[in-house]
Amino acid sequence: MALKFFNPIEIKILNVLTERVVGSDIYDRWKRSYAYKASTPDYSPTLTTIDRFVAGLPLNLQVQLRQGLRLFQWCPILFIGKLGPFTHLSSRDADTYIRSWAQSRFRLRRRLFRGLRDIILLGYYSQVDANIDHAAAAPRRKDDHPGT
Amino acid sequence: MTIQGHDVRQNLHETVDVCVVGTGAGGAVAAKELAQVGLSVVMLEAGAAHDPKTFSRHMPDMLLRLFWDAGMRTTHDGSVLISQGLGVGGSTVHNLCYAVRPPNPILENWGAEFGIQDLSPRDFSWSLNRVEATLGVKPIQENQVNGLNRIIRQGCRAMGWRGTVQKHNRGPCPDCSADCLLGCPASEPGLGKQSMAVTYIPQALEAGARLYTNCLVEAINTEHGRIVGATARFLSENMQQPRHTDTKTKESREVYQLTVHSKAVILAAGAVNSPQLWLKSRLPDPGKHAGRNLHLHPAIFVGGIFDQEIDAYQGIPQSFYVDHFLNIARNSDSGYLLLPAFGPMALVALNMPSFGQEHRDLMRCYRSIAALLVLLHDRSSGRVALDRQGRPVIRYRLSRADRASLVEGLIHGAQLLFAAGAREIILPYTQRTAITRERDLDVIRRRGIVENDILIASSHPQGTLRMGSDPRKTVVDSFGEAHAVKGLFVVDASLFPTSIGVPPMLTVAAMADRIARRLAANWPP
Repeated sequence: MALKFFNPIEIKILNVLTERVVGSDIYDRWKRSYAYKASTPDYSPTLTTIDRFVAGLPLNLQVQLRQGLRLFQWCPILFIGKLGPFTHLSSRDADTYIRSWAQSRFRLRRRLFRGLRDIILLGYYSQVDANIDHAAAAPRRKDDHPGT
Repeated sequence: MTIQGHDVRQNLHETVDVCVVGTGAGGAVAAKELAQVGLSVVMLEAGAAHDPKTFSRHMPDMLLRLFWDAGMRTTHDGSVLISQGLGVGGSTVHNLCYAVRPPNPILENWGAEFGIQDLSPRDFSWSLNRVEATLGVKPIQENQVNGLNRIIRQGCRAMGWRGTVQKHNRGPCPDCSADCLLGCPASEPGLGKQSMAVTYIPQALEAGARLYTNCLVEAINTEHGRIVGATARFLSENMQQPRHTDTKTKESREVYQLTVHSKAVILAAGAVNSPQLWLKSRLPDPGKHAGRNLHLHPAIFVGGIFDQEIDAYQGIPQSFYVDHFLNIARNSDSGYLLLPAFGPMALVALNMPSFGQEHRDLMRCYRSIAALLVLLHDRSSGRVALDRQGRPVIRYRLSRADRASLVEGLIHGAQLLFAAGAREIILPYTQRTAITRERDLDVIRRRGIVENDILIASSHPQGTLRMGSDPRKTVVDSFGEAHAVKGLFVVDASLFPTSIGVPPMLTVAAMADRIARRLAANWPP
C-alpha cells in the first residue's frame, strides 16, 4: 500500500523513532515475518497506520507535524552535540537525544516529543501484532485492523 | 428524512421554523421536542451519520470518524487534549454512558448567583425525568460491575470514602468492553449504548424533522437583532473541512451551500464550536462574554499494577465512582471525582509514562492494570477565540488552586489503588516515576502539574455562552435565548454558568428539553 502523506525522509525518521519509542526491533521483525513477503517492503503496518491517520488530520496539524519532524531530524548538534541528522545516530545516542526532548525545560520541545510519541504509540498499539505480543485477550470484532 | 451532504451536487435552500446546529446531547433533544409539537425543523450536522455496525476496534480509524480533529484538538499550548464528538449523536456516541443528575447545590447556586429562573432542583426534575425515560436510564446492576470497577470500589471502601454505582443509558450489551469509547457496535434502540443517534434523532426524524449530515455551518444570519437563518457548506465524505479537491477521486469539486431561512436557530455544537460560530458570525454580545468562562473538567490518569489479572477492558468500563472529594454542598466550586478509567491498548499506551523498553515493560502488564481518572471540578477558566482562518483557539491555564487539587487527587487516587492491592503506581509523567510504597507518594507534590510533562485530558468543555439574567455578565437568558438576538437559543454545555462537577450529558439533555418546551409554548420567539 502506498503512503498518502509521508515523504521518504519522513519515513526514515519515523522508522527510527518508532523503534526507539516502542522499544523493539519491530522493523526487523516485520521484515522477517510472513506478512512482509506479500507486502510493500518499506512500510511496516505501524507506519501505514500512522500515515493513514495523519492524512486524515486537519491541515494545520499536518503542517505542525511535518515541521516538527524536520526540527527533530536536524537538531542533534544543538541538544546533544552530535553531528549529523537524527537518523544517523547510534541507538544509544538516539535514546539520549529523545530523552533530551522529553525532559526539556522548554515546553515546545516537550510538546513536540509528546505529540510524536503519542502518534507512534497510537499506530503501534492499534496493530494486531502488538496486541498478541502483549497477550491482551480483548474480545475482537470481525472487521478489526483494516490497516494491517 | 436524512440528506447526506457529501452526495449533494447543488446549492440548496430550506425555509423552516427552527434550524438546529449540532445533533449531540442538546441538539437532538431540542429537535425532537420541537418537531413533535408540529414545528418544521432542520438539523445540521458537520459529521456523518454512522452505522454502529461499522464501528471497529481500530482506534486511529475511529478517532478520525468520531472526533473533531481526530481527537487531537488541544488547547493552544498543547497542554490539554480535548475530545469532542463529531457526527450524528455527537459525544453521546463515544461517551461511557454515565447518566448523572446535576448536584442540587449547583442548580441552587446557578439560580441564586446568576438569577436563572425556574431551575430549582424540583423544577428541573421534570426535564430530567423525561430525558431519563427516553434514554432508558436505569441503575447499573451488581452483576454488571466489572473487574476494574470492583477493584476501585474495594479500594474506596478500604479508605472509608464515599462512592456509588451510578445509573447509565445502556441496554443489554453482548460484547461490552473498553472499546465502548470508540462507539458501540451493538447500539440500536433498546440495545447497547443509548446514544442520541438511536434515541432522540430517530424520533425527531419520525416527527418530520430533516437532517443534513456532512454539513458545516459557517454563519448564523441575523437582521435587526433577530434571527433569519444560517448558512452552511457541504463537506466531502471523509473530510471535516471543506476543500475544493476530493482527495479520494482527485476530482475538483465545487463547494455547495445550504441556506436556511428560519425563525429560530438553536446552537448545540458544543462549548468550543458554538462560541466559534457565535464569534465568526459576529453576533452581538453586549457583555463581551461569548467564548469566555471556559471550563474543561481537566482529568489526569493514575494507574496501579496488580499481582493478579484484572482484565479491566472487559465489561462496562465505568459504573462506580468516588465522589467523596466533591462536597458541593459545602464548597460548590471545587473538588474532584475519582472515576475508573481504561481503554483499548492504544489509549492505555498513550497514558503510560516514558518510552522505549521501559514503556514496553509497562504495557506488558496491560491485563493487570487498574486505573483512575482524577476529574477536576475546575475553578480555572479559559477562553475560546478565533484565529485568522476563523478556527477556534482554546486558551486555558490551570490556576494554582486547581493544580493543588489535581495533585491532591493524584495522591488520593494512588492511595486508593494501594488500598486495593496495587504493587506499583503509574503516573502519566513523561519520565517514569515508579512508586511502590505509600510514603513515596510525596514525589507527586514535588513534581506537581507541569504542562506538556503530564497528559491532561478533557471531555467536558462547558460554560462559553453562559446563562443568566444579567446581560452584562452572561450571554443568554434563563431559557437559553441570546440577550441581544431574538430567536437565537443555546442548548449545549456552553450554557453552564460554572463548572458542573459531574458528567454533564444528562444535564445538557434536560436543559435542552426545558428550553425547547418553553420555546414551543411561546412560539414564535
